[in-house]
Amino acid sequence: MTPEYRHTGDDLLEACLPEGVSAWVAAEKMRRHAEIEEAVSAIRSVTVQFNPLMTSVEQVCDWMAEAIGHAAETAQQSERLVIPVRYGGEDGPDLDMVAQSAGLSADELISLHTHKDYPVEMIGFTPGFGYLGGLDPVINVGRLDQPRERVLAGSVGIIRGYSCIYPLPGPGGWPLIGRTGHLLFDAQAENPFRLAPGMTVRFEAV
Amino acid sequence: MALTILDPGIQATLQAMPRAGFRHQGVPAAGPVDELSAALVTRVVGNPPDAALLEITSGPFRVRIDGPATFAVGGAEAEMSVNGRPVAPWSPLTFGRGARELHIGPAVKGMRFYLALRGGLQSSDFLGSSSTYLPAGFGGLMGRALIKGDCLEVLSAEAMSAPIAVPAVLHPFMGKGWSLRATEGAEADWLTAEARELLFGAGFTVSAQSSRMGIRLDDVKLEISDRQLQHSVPVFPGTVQCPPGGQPVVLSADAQTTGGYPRIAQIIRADRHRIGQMSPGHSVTFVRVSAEEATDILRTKKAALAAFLGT
Repeated sequence: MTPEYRHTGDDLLEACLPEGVSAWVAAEKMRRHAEIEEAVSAIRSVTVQFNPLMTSVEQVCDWMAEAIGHAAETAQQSERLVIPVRYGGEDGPDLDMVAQSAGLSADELISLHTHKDYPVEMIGFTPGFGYLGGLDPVINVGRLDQPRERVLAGSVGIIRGYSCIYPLPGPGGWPLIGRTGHLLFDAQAENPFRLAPGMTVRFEAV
Repeated sequence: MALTILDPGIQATLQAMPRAGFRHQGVPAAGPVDELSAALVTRVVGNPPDAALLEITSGPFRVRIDGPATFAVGGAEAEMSVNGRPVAPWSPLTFGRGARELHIGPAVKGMRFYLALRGGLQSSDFLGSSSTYLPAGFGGLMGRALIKGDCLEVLSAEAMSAPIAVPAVLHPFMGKGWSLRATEGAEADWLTAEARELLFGAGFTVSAQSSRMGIRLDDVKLEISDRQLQHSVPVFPGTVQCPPGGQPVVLSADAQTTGGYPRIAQIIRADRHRIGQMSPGHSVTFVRVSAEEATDILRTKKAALAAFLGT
């Protein structure tokens, strides 16, 4: 199956990727070209922003084809991050609501949430915000009707299909079930953001 | 040399070059929303392109400048004065020792002003840029908007050129009605055929829901399919999203890196600086162009500016 390219702006090219291609790896390869200003991976696509006065969309398509050809998803052991979480109470004000909506007790929800590894599928929305896939479908909550104006850094949220950990304080619409003291953002580090696609996260109740 | 905020107005922030190359980690560009006006005043005072300057929203705005100092204001049109005497935009203003008060606005055309000081302003760097990104509190002065009493240090940048006024022919258009050239977006075909024509013909109005992240447009509702994107997709400054209500949103400098709404248009690179001057109540029309036309427009615009900006 060949990728599908879309010229979505005068300086934007989007490729929808075939199965088995890592969007994160393809985007990383695209960023090695000086003419590429941004390469953002989503769940099954990569979008690049390029300088149209320095290169052409045809050239960018060629680079993309090459990047995709060398971005096969590998079965290699990915980095696994264990995140200690204080569930419920002030740290997870929506725990009971989420548990009730799934027909579970709070303890059952905690043991459900901590029994498996979650792959980081995508980074987006705000700085360092990771979408951790694979949430048990018994949990079927959506975003809060009224997003919170301020969510504390380290807050753990879930919506259908996904868990997240807020790396920074800020507004947030995901129901919160707990909070970790684990630093996912370090402004002083060369790479300030701890999460990247390909990693897995395991939550541990403390 | 220092600058003390007396009245920041609606919102004043330190901005420099956009924070480029980190969208894949969820880090938005930030930087001046009207990049063109910011680049011009930066050149007026002879600063290198990455020197930090002030972005001032709408006015009135008051600041005390302790000299000696050379500074310049550009962007929106308004009355401006130093110690009560009118001064002109787009020109270097040089003063000796002593304190004086610069007063700007309110804007009568456009929306944002840029105030550059020769030498640049002290601003904290994060990921290669000192632009303020308010939602996460990066860059600028403690990552926040400026408040009364804030004191900003004027630096002495290396590699400065001689101050020079912007030739009148290069003054950016300022008005209350904006024409934005755009290509069709990735999900443009989610609009009904009528809505697709309406997008590029109707007159929209800038709503009060406007910020450095994006601008919601009023007055015209676009009919769009109620299907939903399976996953969030990358968005950029200049992306026009259409939420289910049918009121388009033009994303701006602080736009989130991914979004869940269909992308119906993308404002062309050459016109994105205009987003920074669109104020609530202003009118907006979109003009459909092809990507090839957009690149020609960009080439022409860059060529016209090259001699002055030295790019």
